[in-house]
Amino acid sequence: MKPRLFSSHAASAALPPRSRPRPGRIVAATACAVALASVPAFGQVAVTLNGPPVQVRPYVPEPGLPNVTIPLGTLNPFPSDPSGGGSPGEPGGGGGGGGGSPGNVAPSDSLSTMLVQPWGIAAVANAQALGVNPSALAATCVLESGCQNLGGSGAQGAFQMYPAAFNEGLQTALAAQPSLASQIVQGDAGRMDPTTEAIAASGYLMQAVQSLQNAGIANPSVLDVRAYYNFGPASGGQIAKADNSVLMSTYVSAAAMQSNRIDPNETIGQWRAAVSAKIGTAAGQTVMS
Amino acid sequence: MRSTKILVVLAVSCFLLPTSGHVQGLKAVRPVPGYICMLLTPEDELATVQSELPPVFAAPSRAAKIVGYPTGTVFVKWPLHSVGGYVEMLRLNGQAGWIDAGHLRVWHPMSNQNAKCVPSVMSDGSLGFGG
Repeated sequence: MKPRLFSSHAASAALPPRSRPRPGRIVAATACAVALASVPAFGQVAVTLNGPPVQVRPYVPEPGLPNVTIPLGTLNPFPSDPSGGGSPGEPGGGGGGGGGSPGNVAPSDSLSTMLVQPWGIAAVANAQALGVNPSALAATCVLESGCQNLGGSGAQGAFQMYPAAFNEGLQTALAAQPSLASQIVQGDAGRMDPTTEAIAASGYLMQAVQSLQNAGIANPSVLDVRAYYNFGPASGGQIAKADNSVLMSTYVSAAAMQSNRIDPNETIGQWRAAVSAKIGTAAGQTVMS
Repeated sequence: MRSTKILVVLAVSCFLLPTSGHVQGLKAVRPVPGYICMLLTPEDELATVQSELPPVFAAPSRAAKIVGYPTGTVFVKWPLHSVGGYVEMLRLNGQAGWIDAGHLRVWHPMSNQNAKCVPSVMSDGSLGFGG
């Protein structure tokens, strides 16, 4: 535990002028406080900082400061974290499988994780233009890639989309907001352009919402649409509308279970809890804002 | 005074956050009689977008209006009601629909061989999947 320092100057400044102690007493009090602070009190347990301090993630870059980038693979600075190190997932993985979490995400910081990316602000603005809750979009990229622009032979990009899901998501988004067309990178290369893929992912989330609304969920949450995004439309609705005690393996193929690091005995309720733990309060928010 | 203001702002923010009551998860309350679970074909199961799924029609005809798309597991009316190659089914929003019989097969769990599928009324009153 970091020792508390007694600030006699601050304390005296806060007192009315007449009750300020004399300088000699201030010196004595300061010495006494420092001495006491250096000795742990009886019954106290010293706590040391376990790992690096929490990183402050500025929303707006500070002019004049160097551009600091966090290299891939250092998303989780705590190697002992059991939830870290998962492989990225992909939308509509179907039998091909998706992925786990790239690292431990503190509650409610999904939006911060996306906003700190160079493309984060544009992604938020475009999601809002489509009526998609930016936290829902942020939670998606956090779960898929840690919001890192990852390549690969199948799913690609910060939102780990397959070509069909990318194209249909983009079409849905552009149909709803044609002005976004000026921001997109044309063709399949758009999957590796995070701004373009964020628009496509927003459109795919809109499709997921529509699908779940047709399945009787009036206002689907981020958690409701997660299975649709991760496992595809065939499995998505089932998992969103299944009893918590049902095993994931009832509706997810063995290959997808394995690639998503889902235990064979994991229930849908446990899976939902695990997803919620990774994205915090975003889990309960509605996808459409 | 300042801390009071912060608390008020936090309370208002929490109130304004869009949330869904569906997050807690569902519980199957009772089975829906007259329906069984059937599976879509393996090709359908691999769909990555909704348009790759077989459509659900309002009537047993390709020319009928498309009312939606199924999940991988379909609640089929039982005893089977088949007309012109289409089978009557129950959509998860409670509406009836028709699906091409060629896209259906006997239900089995994807990877857990002991699981069951029971068309059910869920704790929120909607239709869902009990086990």
